[in-house]
Amino acid sequence: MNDSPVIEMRGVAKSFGSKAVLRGLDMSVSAGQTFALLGRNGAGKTTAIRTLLGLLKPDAGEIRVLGLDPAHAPLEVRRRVGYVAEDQTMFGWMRVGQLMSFIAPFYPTWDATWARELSERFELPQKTRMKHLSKGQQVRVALLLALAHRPQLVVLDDPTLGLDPIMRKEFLRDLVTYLQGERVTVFFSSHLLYEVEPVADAVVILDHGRVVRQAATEDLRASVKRLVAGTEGAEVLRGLPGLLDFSDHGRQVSAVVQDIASARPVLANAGIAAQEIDLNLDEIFEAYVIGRTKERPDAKPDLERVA
Amino acid sequence: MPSLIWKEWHEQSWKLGFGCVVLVAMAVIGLRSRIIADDSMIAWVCFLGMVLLPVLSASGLVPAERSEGSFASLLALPVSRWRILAAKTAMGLVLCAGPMIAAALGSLLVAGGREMTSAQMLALYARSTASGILLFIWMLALTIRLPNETRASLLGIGVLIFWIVATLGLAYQSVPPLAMTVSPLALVYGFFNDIAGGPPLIGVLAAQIAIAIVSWWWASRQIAAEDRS
Amino acid sequence: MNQLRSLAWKEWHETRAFLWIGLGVLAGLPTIAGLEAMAQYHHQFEITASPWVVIFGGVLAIFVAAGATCRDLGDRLENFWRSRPIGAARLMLVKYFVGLAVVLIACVLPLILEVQFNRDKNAVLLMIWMPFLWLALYSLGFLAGCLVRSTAHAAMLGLSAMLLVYFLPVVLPPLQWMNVTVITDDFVTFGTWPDICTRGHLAFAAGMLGLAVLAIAAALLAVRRGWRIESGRKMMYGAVSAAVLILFGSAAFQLGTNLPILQQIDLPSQEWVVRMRCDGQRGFLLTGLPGPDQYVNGRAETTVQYRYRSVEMSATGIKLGGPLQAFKMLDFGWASDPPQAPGHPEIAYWPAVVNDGSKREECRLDIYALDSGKPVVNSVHLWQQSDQERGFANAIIWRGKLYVIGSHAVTLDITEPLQPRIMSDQLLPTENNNSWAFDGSGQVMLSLPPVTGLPARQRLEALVDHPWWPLWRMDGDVLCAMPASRFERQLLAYRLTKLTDTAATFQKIGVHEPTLLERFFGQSYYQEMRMQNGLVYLAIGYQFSQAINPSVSVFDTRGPHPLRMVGHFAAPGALEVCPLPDGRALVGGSKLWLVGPPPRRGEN
Repeated sequence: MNDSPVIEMRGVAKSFGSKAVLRGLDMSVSAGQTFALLGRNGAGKTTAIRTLLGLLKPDAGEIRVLGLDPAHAPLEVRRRVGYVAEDQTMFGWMRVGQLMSFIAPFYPTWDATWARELSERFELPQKTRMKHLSKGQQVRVALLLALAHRPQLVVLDDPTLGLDPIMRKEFLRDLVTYLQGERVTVFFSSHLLYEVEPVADAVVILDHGRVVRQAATEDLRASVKRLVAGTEGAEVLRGLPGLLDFSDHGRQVSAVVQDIASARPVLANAGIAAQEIDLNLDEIFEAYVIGRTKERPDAKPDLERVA
Repeated sequence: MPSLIWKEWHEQSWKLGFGCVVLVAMAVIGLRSRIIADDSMIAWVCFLGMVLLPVLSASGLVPAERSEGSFASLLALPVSRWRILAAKTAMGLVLCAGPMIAAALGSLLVAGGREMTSAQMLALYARSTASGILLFIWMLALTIRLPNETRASLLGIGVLIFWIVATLGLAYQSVPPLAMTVSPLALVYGFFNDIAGGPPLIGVLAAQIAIAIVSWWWASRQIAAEDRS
Repeated sequence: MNQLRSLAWKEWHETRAFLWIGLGVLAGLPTIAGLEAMAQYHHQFEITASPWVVIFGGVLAIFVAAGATCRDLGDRLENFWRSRPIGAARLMLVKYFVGLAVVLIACVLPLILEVQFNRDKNAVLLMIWMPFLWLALYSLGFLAGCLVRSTAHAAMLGLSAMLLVYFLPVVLPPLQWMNVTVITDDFVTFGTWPDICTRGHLAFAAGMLGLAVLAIAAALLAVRRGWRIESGRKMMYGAVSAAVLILFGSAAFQLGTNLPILQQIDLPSQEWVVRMRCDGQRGFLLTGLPGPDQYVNGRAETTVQYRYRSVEMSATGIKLGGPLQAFKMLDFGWASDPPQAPGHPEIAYWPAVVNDGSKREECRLDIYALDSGKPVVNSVHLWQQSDQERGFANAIIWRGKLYVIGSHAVTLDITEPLQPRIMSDQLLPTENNNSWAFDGSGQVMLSLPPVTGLPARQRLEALVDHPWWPLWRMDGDVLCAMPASRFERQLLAYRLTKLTDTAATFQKIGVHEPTLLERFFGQSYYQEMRMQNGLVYLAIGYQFSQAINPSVSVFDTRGPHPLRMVGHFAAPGALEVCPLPDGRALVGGSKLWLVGPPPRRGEN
């Protein structure tokens, strides 16, 4: 397997006027993986994705997508990348078939047979105008356009926005079925963590324009834990390395730590018996994003390379 | 109702300011500099006011709010729809009449009694304002279901062109003079031309007021029928 | 190639509605009018599309451009096509050219029909040069759409730009070569082939092309760099209002009334000035007012009653005498100025040439006394001539004698103004002077009639003061002419460079073409011209009392730029003008005004 990353970002910064959206973003995405970019509204997810496609030029830093610089070769990047935008709007007057015919010439690798097959599988009515399709059908069309040219990388920016829960499940099922089997790298952003968890091989947590954690999903779940102890352990818990969040519940105190392996020896030395609780991605995300804001505003990101 | 009027005033009052500034500036500059005779200058100002103000008012009241997306929220309020329309209509009337009144005052100050008597000047402005208001009612009724300001403006211009051409056609000698009463421009046409044997001013006004009431009623039915989604 | 075809297909689908609408309005409506005229007047079918195309072609260009750009530059749709490997410049250029093709087809096709059906050569002129204007306007609309990205706002901005393209060259003289009237002014009314390609046309086309290139370059840059102007309704309204007020204010500055009103005299209701003359101290005023209808052959005709008033001038103003009933001065010709008896401005001498239906004409001198209540008070037979000879005669008073010059030169003693006495009668050779001599050519030579006892200068003045069109006037060594070859009055100035006993030579020193601004405000249909102290006064003339926006314009023939407009006066029925030697002037219409001289302006 090719070791070079599909996406590489080093120190990427982007501001809009006086508002800094990306502040030294560092990220690396390996081939064949499904990556989830997580962040709150306004964290910089869409801005980061737009810089990947060359739709925005960063103020500083380096970006490489499939070995190309999107700022200097945007069309070449887009030929190799499939993209579904957040709340995608397409040409409302075009029929589905017309839209496919219109887009096809722009992709040298467009596979018309595969496009037809996808169209049948997604049950898309060819003669219906885009503006008359339901939201779910429109998202499917967007996904078809992103997949029909057999891209090496598929970028999805909150593609399930506005879909009902059933539609979202079906979309993700389609994604998993058609992409993961092809070993296409998928990079998608979302803030619905419970949906991301089953499909993502790795996650990147973005907060205030910086990556605060990048790790394999399993590794993240294994290393980030909540510790619950009696009030006598408060001082020790507060001083644990990699502390993400600390709460005082009166009779008990709890702390969320990035790396349970580093915390255990400290607890043992202090003689504090703390209960370890597994966290889901939602809770881990919350700890990183909200916990950091309150407790550790200057914490450095912890970047792990996923093999 | 006062809330509705307050809302409309806040949203549209800047247009009133613009209209007043432009029309007053044209009237005052034109009359002060005397590029052309006073009656011609005032006729131009009245024509501009009569033509532009109804189009901008009608397209900016309902269609513009519809395209911004807040019209649905307005309809969802626990208030009868005719009140909503009444508030918008009232604002539209202010937008059509306000700048004309301001221009009339400016004209009187600069050139009242110079070549036209003040009464003649006021009569021309009054007729033009009335025609403008009548055109506004027409445009409001016809554009009330349109989704945006652009389409409403285009339709408004179409209505205007239609009535200009129709009025000229109704002025043919072979057409019965009574037919002129249907035109909202009859008031202005009558000022500049002797409509021999034509309907008196009071007849024209009565007919136009009746048409305006029917048009407004039709517009209110349109709004009432709109989906409450 | 497939990509271009794909993009072109998309643009055509999105823009074709404009083509149908454009053809419907620009070709369809004139076709309906032509069919209607054919049915009503049994004419052969003609289609007059050029006024529609000239007026609405630019508007169509703006709307197509604004619609085409803003459609794909809305936030989410732009995100869609930008995230595909579709080059922004390629998409915008295809969009540009497809839209431009739609505009040009919609505008040129009706002109082709007009040339085909009407055999109208003027439409050929429009067909060749107007596309450059539409190209420029379309490009400006395109730029507006790329910057503003909202259809309505882009259209408003585009229309403001259109106003500036039309009117800025009018109000700013250095830009006059970009004036659209360079094209529209070359229409001729006598069915001759217009000049298809002149330097003016090429300069205009180059200007429009340059404007278009700049606009499209800026538009592409804006799209590539993501430049945009956050436009709200207020900004758009402000832009349009500002453009209108700037243009209007400039027009007002250029054409505003600047002759100070020194005195205004109201005339009785419905009375208007027909003619007035004053030598600076004494003169007369002739007014008309509607009289009772009289029936001629069963049809009612409005009569006119005339009134005569004496005029006396003083340093403080005008003093009018009481009205006396007068008669219309028949057939003076609307261009003439019959000589008045010295010291008696109410007595005028008019050499009338009367044809009795045979091949002989009689030239006689009619004497009018306007305060007598009678028409002609006396007539003196001068000579007989065949109808092949020169048909009119001029008259001039010099050193107490009246000279009537036509095919003969008759000298009359007018010691008794109402009883002139013939002193001599001289047969003159046939002149070769062309009444169209002062039609714009650089140098003109007039042959002077060899009248015994009358100096060359007076003979020249008599020749200039002929009673028919085209209008000539002379003051000092400057002659002004208004040739009749154009519908809108062009004003020419010539300077007398050589005067011999037999000929006078003139050199052209200035031309004034009514600008679009002047024509827009109705200041180009002058019929009356007077000169005094190097100033030329133009007025509508009482025959055109129904003219829109009658006014008086004053031009200066002095200085390095002769025929510079220096004065303007607008008032209802400002029909007649009589400049006075002291720089003041009488203006007559529905009222009588005494105005001061125009303000002196610095040289440019």
